Amino acid sequence: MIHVATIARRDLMALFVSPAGWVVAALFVLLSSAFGFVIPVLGGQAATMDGVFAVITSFLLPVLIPVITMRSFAEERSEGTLELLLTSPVRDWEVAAGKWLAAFGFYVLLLAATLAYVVLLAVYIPRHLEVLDLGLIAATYMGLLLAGGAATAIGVLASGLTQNQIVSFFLALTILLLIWYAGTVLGFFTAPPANAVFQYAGGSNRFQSFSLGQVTLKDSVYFLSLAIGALFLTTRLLDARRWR
Amino acid sequence: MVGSHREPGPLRFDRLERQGALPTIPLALIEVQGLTRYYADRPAIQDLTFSVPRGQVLGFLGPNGAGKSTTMRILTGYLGPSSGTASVAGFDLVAHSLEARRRIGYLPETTPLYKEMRVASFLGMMCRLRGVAPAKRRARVDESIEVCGLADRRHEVIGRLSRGLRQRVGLAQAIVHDPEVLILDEPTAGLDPAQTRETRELIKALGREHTIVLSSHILPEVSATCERVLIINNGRLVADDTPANLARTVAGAQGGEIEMVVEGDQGEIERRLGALPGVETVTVDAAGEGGWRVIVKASKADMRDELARAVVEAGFGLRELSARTLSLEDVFMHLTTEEPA
Repeated sequence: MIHVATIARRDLMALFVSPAGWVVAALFVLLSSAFGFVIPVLGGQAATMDGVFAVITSFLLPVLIPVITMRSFAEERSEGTLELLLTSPVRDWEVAAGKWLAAFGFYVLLLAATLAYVVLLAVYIPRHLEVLDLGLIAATYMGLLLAGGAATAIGVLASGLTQNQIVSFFLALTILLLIWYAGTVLGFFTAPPANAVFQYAGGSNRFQSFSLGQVTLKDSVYFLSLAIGALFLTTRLLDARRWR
Repeated sequence: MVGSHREPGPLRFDRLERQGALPTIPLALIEVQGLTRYYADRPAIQDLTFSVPRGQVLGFLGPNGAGKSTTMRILTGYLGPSSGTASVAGFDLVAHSLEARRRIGYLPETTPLYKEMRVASFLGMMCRLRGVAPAKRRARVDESIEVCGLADRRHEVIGRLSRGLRQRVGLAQAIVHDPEVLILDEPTAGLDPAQTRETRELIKALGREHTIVLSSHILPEVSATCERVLIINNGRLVADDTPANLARTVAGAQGGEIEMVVEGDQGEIERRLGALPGVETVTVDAAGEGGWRVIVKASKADMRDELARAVVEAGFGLRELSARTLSLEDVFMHLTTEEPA
């Protein structure tokens, strides 16, 4: 476990000293505040968490996570530092897990920043315990953690496929958009029985239960298997590289 | 040329061992058997077999692209072999990779480092990755910093260090977990002469306590630091010996050149020396100080004694006589240049 923690700590530190990390953080805070909260409120709509959650699912998950993960393996490869990691007595899965943990940790920090709005709502809405559905908010955060775990794992996998960070970014973006919108877009344009498969396997469809306030086992398992599957492939990829 | 003919020398334990006179004790720390690695269908190395005893400093010499880095990457577990085996301290690099890797310190060719980290915290991280016990980490970091002369740089950001200092950080990370074996891929590539000398001194010092395999395409480096040289060309082992023995072997196979200054009649000198068995050509090129400068090319190794006798017997004055020794460079050229059949 010390290996996973060591690798994760180095990557997280690298994100904090890199401009990319700060740009992602700044962009996210700006957009979630502006589009998620300030503009709806100024426009006279009711203050809710919906806008903030919409920014997270439509922007943080598919676009910013690839920015967070694009360096993960791609940079280690182009700089050659991967050679230091893989010739140390560290198992391949520990390297993959460490890389994922760093990206996921950064995502969790961004997510945690949005808790400020929950606090604001709780403080300023009169009779908030009746109006504010804290259970629903908690369920949504749970879903966001699961979906974020899967998305960061997929981003790390994409980064392991290339040594070019730009390629890594677009690869992760494409995969994430495909998975997230498989149900709504592909499911809409395909004929039965394919559409049923897409609708069932689409990320946004599986996320729906969380945003309706339910934490279901089925949908939790869906995101967990995506995460574990992507990390498993990353581990296999690291070993396959030895034999190519 | 593999296992090139050595002159019968003093008794060697490995020979006795082969004859069954001694019980077989695994003396070698690194053992490589029939190692072959393909990239797609192109062979990078083919059927390499060698072993390195504990405490030896071994130079791995060959032109660029000969397969040096590939071999080192297999020895460190970064690449897997297509066939054959490699082991360190008895641990196979594939079957018991982690155990083998624990015993290896590796400096890759490009000296990759985490540039945003500070020297001491980078070395601390490497300690944790390589399984140094928590109680020993501080001492190990301090020692590797001390040995590599980085004491006044320990809190500097690696990315701001000069090329030479980064090389020292690279060496420091290779020794930070106190491995038995050091594998250094072109440790002085890209350094200026002063830094090169510094690094060589450092490697020599490290060689007193470690078994080292270093690669180079620079010959003086290998003859300056290594007890034994493996020459590899086109992925195959072409020589395995001490630098001095190699020079002698090739001189024996190739013949040698002897330079003399002889006093006497020019034509007579040419005729008398040319008549000696083993002499191929005699060139009297110019009148030097005290006589003619004569260059004798011989097909036999070291003909100094015969030549001296011939000169004296003919009544000439012998002023100077010296064999032109082959440098490792000549050996290298001889072994790695394809000769027309």
